[in-house]
Amino acid sequence: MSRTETGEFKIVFTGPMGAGKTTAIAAISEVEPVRTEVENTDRVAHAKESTTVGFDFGRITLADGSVVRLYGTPGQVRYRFMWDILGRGAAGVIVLLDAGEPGALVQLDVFVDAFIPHVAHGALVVGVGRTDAPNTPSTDAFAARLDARGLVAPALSAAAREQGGVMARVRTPVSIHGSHSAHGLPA
Amino acid sequence: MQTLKICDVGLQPDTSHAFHSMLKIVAGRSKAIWQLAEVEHADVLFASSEGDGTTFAAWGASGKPVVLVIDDRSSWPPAPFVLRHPFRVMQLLSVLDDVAELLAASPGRARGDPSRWSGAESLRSLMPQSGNAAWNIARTPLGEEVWLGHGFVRATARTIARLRAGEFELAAFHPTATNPPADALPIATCDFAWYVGLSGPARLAPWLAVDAAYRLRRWPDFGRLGASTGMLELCAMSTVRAWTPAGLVEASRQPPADVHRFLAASSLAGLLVANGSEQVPPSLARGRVQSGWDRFLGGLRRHLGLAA
Repeated sequence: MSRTETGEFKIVFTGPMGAGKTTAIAAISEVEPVRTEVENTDRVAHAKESTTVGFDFGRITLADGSVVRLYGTPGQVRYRFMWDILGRGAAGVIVLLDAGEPGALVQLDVFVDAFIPHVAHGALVVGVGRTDAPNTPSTDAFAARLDARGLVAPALSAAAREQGGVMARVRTPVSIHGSHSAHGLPA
Repeated sequence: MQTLKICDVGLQPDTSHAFHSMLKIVAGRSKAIWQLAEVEHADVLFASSEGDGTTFAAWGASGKPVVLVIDDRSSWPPAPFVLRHPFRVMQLLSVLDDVAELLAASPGRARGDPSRWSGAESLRSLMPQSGNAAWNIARTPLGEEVWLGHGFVRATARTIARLRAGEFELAAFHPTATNPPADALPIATCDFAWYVGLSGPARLAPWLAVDAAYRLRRWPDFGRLGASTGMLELCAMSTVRAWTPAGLVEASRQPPADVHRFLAASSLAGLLVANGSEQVPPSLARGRVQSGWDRFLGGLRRHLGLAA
């Protein structure tokens, strides 16, 4: 479902550890985000000090009083069970990736595979950070990866984690939803 | 008062100097404001009768007026606007006013507009070879230079800023033996092409067909290019199905000029598929529209500034 029993909706930020999910939600949430971070004991996967083990949560209230819940998933595959829980009923999914991390293109596949079953109307957006770093795949490489899977989903550079950039990423799945609803929802 | 762009070609140095000096004198006296421009952007050609045939042929195809400058040995040609060198200021003013009256009386005459796609069309033809180790150069009406080659487009930071702001008009590229200056910054060719398309004329680009249906095969990278709300909507619509240009204008309720520029930009950047399938591309999950979805969507779109 895209809408919860309480009349609220969700957009899910997902991606591997260190991709910026927690930061993105904190950038746009109108309430103090709920975080479930603990000390990172998997320094092989990422050198960051702490990591999300449950989920992040933030919220935007719409002009008509509707509430959009912003969820951030844990990045580690061992918490995949949380992906399914959080992805269920998502109105849109934003996959954040760090092009500077090894295997970023493979990570794209992992997260697209995991969240495709939950995304209605094709509202999946890929945000790629650090594409300007040396020897990293370009945004085009991620777009080509989506092409190869037959997916026409936006792959957007996400150099900044500032509010405007995050909101732009949120606006994109909303536009996709609107267009699919109005002009040709997949049967 | 109309502003008209004039370009002098093929004049002897003393004639050209006299013309430029006299243009300053006629300022404020003429029926139009006259600005010097590159030939690709000009409304009027001010040319020696002995100029090169290629320029005349290309100009003649545009249907725009020519002021022909002949020397004192030539016989009077069968042309509407002629000046014999040496000419005086009042003679120049008289001819320029005649030209201005002609153009003012012909509002349907697209002054400058037809040639404005010349930069985009030359870019389009050169893009497959843009990785070659050779430079092509194009100029803007302000005299800014843009280099294409070696896998990139290069221009100064100021030019790139104007490009991103949509304040950009480009003449056709042509080969050059010169290299870009050291302070010229690289910009990806497809990004450059996107901005050139968005800066184009309001009408449909000449390489796009009014009766063909187009869809996006891939989203532009709006994280890099930036996008207006309207652009996001057009992209989203164009990934759902193929549209004719008129169909997209009607369905999106956006100004035709915006839709035409979006199509031109998408096409130049290699993102547009002509005569695409009307079927939705292989998609993500096939979700049902939930009860209340429209209300949610409307609210979210208003909140994010996406509402029409």
